[in-house]
Amino acid sequence: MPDASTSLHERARALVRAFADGVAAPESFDALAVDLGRFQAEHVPGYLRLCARRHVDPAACTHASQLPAVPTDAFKAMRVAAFPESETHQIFRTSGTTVGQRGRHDFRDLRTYDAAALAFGRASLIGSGAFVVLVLGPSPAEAPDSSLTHMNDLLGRELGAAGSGGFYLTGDTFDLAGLDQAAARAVVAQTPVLLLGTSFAFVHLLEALDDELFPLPPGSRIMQTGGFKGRSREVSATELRRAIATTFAVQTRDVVQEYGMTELSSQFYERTAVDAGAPEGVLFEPPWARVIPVDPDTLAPVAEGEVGIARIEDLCNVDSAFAIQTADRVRRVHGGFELLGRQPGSAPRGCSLAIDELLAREPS
Amino acid sequence: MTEPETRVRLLVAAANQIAADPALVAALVAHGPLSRAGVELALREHLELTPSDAEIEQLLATRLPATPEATVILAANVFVGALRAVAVAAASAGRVLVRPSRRDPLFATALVQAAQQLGAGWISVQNTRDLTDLHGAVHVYGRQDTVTAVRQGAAPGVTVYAHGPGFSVAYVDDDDAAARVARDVIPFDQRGCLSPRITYVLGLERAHTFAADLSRELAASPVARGTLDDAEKAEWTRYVDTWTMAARDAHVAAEHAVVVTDLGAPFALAPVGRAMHVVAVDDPSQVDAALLPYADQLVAVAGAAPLARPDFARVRRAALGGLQRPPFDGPVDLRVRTR
Repeated sequence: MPDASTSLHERARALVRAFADGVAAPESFDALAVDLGRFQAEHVPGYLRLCARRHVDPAACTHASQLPAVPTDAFKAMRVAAFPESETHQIFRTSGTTVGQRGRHDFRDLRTYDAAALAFGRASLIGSGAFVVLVLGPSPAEAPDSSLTHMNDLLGRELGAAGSGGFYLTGDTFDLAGLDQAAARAVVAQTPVLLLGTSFAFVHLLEALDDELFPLPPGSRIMQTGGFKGRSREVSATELRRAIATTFAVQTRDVVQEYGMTELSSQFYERTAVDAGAPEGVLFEPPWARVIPVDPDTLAPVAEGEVGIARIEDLCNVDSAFAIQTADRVRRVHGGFELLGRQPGSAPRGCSLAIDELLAREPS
Repeated sequence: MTEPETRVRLLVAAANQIAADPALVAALVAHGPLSRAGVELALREHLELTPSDAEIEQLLATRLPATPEATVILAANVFVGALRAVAVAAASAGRVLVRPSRRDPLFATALVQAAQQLGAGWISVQNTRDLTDLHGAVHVYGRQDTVTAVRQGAAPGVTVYAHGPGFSVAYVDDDDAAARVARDVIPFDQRGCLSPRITYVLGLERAHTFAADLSRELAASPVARGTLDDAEKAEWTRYVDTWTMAARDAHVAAEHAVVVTDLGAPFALAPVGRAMHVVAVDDPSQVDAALLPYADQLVAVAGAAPLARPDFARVRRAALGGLQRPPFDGPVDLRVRTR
């Protein structure tokens, strides 16, 4: 089995390399996708049962879309992995409430994840420039099972200019002095900063700064990811983008939204920082991933331009699930997709408790 | 007979009048999510048309402090619940204002109209959502969002009795329980807080057998499932796909699903729409431990689960098959919170 997995990893990385080198892909998306589907049906516990329930024979599939997607909830309910626990190299875990369970995504080989993150991160955030990469988030030592922290660290180590790699959030406390010093050093070095953080962290930082400005060197960029509904204060994505741009003295188009999740190995970005014609609010996939809006009930693709929940096909998810089914609402537009929030749980009426409502709450 | 008892008995009489009204049945079928058989089952077996004197005595004995006026803000789904909700309010208030659910107003409105025709001048329907116009006591039923909004919106001095959302479970330790559990699952297509969403079964082998039996019982039910709304369908699909992969066993059909897990699997609730999450336990005390983190959301348990800890003191107990027919002795949900 490791040979089959290794071969699939190599094929996935070949797609990533081709993108990074600007050359034609060595094989089609669907060719690798159906091989991943067959491999996962054979080795990921339960996936063949899911195929059977959907009346799908993985051996007969010719397109990725024919293979069923694994719900993100499955990563909470079980270990979705094509290899034994003893071969686990890294586990990333989803965030969770005190009561709710955390999902887990096990990796046997992180090289494919890292290659994908670097190639598309460079293309979407950095382009041909040089940036000091700083992180408004926890360090890997503090959050060793966070995929976002891993990615932030990776971008800093591999893509950042000298002075990169600082982490300026410990627990709930910002290290504003440290961030200020790092930014000052970047000014002296005449190098712009790429500041990475969650929307939640930026909301709190703006509160902490209380309208005080925190100008970054000219040409700096911000990457923000994740939602912030229900946090200390709710602001619209547009408001937050403007507030971040004002506070850090960057262009609003240089505030770039990222969308990723623990269950994936790839990320999606706005292209506003690297493409003057790119629309705001539209995220784009790398060529080794697809985001397809589907009907929440039938899971069939919805018509172009209509809202559905995101089925995400990620060819770098070699040892888990190449297709995952999220509850995030999306709409295809301008060659990319808009992210429209989460599909609400059921029981929108009456006294029957919804599972989301139960697991989202704090204990009494 | 005291005035509160007169009011409660008049409401029961009104319910008897409308339960036999074919026009109301037709309207409930046309505008609600239940099938015709589901509506008829609700009216026949889950509407308290013949409460005993002892039950009414108990309802009156546990009534809340007297108030000149009470407003009842009703939830959707378990439409027959309007009778008990209004009766609880009428037991303590000389004037009762009923605010039906906007999604599900038919039964409650018909109940009030029938009561008025029987001479009740003390009750009326109030089709408003204005929270500033509440006086005396408010009995609010439904989602936590609704309860919170009423708590925050009601003026100081208004007493709010909150009947929030919750779930129920069953506990099985014999080999012949599936038919009884099915009787708890089928009414209202599992949309009520008395609907069991998990069945804890003593013994793994028994759990597998129970799941297969329950699946057969649900498939054989003459009461067809009604319709699920889009959010319910989405949650159904998500649940079934997840547990098709993760469960020890899964019996999935178009209108029901039964999955088998053990305590090693994460906590989960089956979704609305006749699904059951069967969890095998080795020892009854494991049920207490499993439910303890959710004790404040647990409304009722069917079967002989110990639930001995004080955290479960307000959980209603019932026999298997009797969850959806509690005595007419007060609110079904004993967790009522007062502001």
